[in-house]
Amino acid sequence: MKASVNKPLLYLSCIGLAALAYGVVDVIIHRAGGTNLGSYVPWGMGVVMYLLFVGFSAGGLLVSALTELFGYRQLKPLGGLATYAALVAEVCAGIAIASDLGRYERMFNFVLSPSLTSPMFWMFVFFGGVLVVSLLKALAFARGDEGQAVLWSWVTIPVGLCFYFTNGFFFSVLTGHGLWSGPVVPLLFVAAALVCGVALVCSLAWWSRTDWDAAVLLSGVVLRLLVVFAILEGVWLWINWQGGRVETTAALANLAAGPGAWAFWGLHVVAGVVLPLILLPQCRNNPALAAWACLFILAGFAGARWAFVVPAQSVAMLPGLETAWQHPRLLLTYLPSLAEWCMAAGVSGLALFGFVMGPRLFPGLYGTTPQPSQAR
Amino acid sequence: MSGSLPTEDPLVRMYRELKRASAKDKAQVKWAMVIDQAKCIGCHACAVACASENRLGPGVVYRPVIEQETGTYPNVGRRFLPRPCMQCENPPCVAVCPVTATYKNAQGVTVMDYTRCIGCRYCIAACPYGARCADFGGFYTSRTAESPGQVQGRYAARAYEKQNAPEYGRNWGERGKGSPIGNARKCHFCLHRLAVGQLPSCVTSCVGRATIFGDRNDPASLVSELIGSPRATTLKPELGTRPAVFYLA
Ligand code: SF4
Ligand code: SF4
Repeated sequence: MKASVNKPLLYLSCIGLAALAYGVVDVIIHRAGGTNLGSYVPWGMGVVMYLLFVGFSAGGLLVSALTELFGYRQLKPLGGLATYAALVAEVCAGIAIASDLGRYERMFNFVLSPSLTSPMFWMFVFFGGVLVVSLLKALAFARGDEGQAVLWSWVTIPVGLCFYFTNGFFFSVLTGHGLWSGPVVPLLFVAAALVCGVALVCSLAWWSRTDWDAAVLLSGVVLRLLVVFAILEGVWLWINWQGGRVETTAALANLAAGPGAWAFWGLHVVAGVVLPLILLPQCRNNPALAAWACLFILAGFAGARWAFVVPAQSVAMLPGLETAWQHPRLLLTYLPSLAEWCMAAGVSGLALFGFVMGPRLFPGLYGTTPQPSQAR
Repeated sequence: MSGSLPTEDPLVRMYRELKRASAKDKAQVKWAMVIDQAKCIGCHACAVACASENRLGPGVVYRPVIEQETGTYPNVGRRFLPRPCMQCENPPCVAVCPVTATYKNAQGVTVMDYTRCIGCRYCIAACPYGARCADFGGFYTSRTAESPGQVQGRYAARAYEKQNAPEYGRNWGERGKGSPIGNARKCHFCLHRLAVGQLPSCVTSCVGRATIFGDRNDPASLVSELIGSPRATTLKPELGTRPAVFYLA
């Protein structure tokens, strides 16, 4: 029996793919010139989407860790699905960040002239590592090769942890930006990635009817991880506030009350943290509710990533710098261009397409027998 | 004439010292700059000279002049802070570059290899002085009107704008799609001028002679003399970047 495809979602994903085509053409023609980025806000939507999808890819790591390291055998049926989700998310993250480069055609320089002191180089290495390991793991699951699947699940754990750590490390070394620097940031990134990744697997497991009991079990894990993440984020904000550096508190004020404050409060705090914290404890017999709570987390993390990346750049490195030489590329404010929105919608559409078509295209990865469609 | 007045234009002395430095082994020279804020009149001549010398495109600036207000009313003051690249001895921008496209040369200048740079802008985020710019392409004349047959017309001006940067002693071709568009860019103490015995453009254009340049390893140089002044400071010393640009506050 072939898995059915949700038509409205498929059409929605096709709109996303059309937006992606526009974004890609714009990148080919204008490179980063089609963005609204500048020299004082050099990172925006591309980095936000990259970080978001990188987080989504962490489900593969956590499901492997829970199954192999902590003995949660009930999660075994989700191994293939989690790996597939990680692969789709990594591809989307890769497209988002590659399109953000001013000279994407020179990416081979990561290999030809690497710098071992650069966190970005290590991020690249571990990005590749996670991609390769996920690919091998997916092949093993698709072929039903249990031994290989277990082997690659074990390998996923250290490689994945290093990858999510380096994403935070990438920011934490930027001492000029008080909000980004510091030792809490890498831990915050690991926690954020685990929450996002496992929330994605949970919602996909419900939606594709792979294993509802496992989905409910995962929702408990999501709840615990979300609490850990919320505590770490609180610590991060508190330390920055207490540190009292003028630029850092100005960036914090921008995060909390600036033009993008809705992303932090509305999307991240309310939809992405508070609502799931209320819903998740009530999901014991309700995989649908668990999945919806997880979807809120996923949407909320888009806000969290925006709030992390953009407000930190809203403060001049030296007071008065932003008015010393005037040009739209030398502003401290940032609103994505049409091309950037298209790219964001595009990679989201690509991910949606992958998830909608996944059960049909890769039934071996999505679990053995889809469960009946009656509501639970 | 009062004996306390300078008898020689500092530019003449700097040129003499430049000749001396050029005769030395390259590895023995350490370029440094001293900016006397008491002499800077905020004319922005250095910023414009730099943009013209290095053919900086729209939104790219190597040496903006920041206006600073000091004190509290009624005891207020105004001063200027020209901000080139600090050519840090311990530069955060170099450490983060994933493809070694930026590095320190033998004379202590932080330089770019445009052919390696992937345009990730990590170095821009890492520089605590905001001293790097991304070149997103484009022309100043993109939105100007065309007046056929006149020098002020867009196409006439575009011909000037299309001349590419003379940086790092290389011909980068006509400005269009190739490097340095898409790259990070920064002040490099006009290495291409130093190579032919000329001082950096900001130094020669400084109306107030507020910008002094020379070999820090030469104890007899004007920069060495001024770096020893009790007025000499650096920006954000707490970060440990050890700038080669000093300010006389
Ligand atoms: S001022 Fe900035 S760009 Fe210049 S060397 Fe220091 S860190 Fe690098
Ligand atoms: S923009 Fe270029 S020089 Fe700067 S970190 Fe990236 S690759 Fe290196």
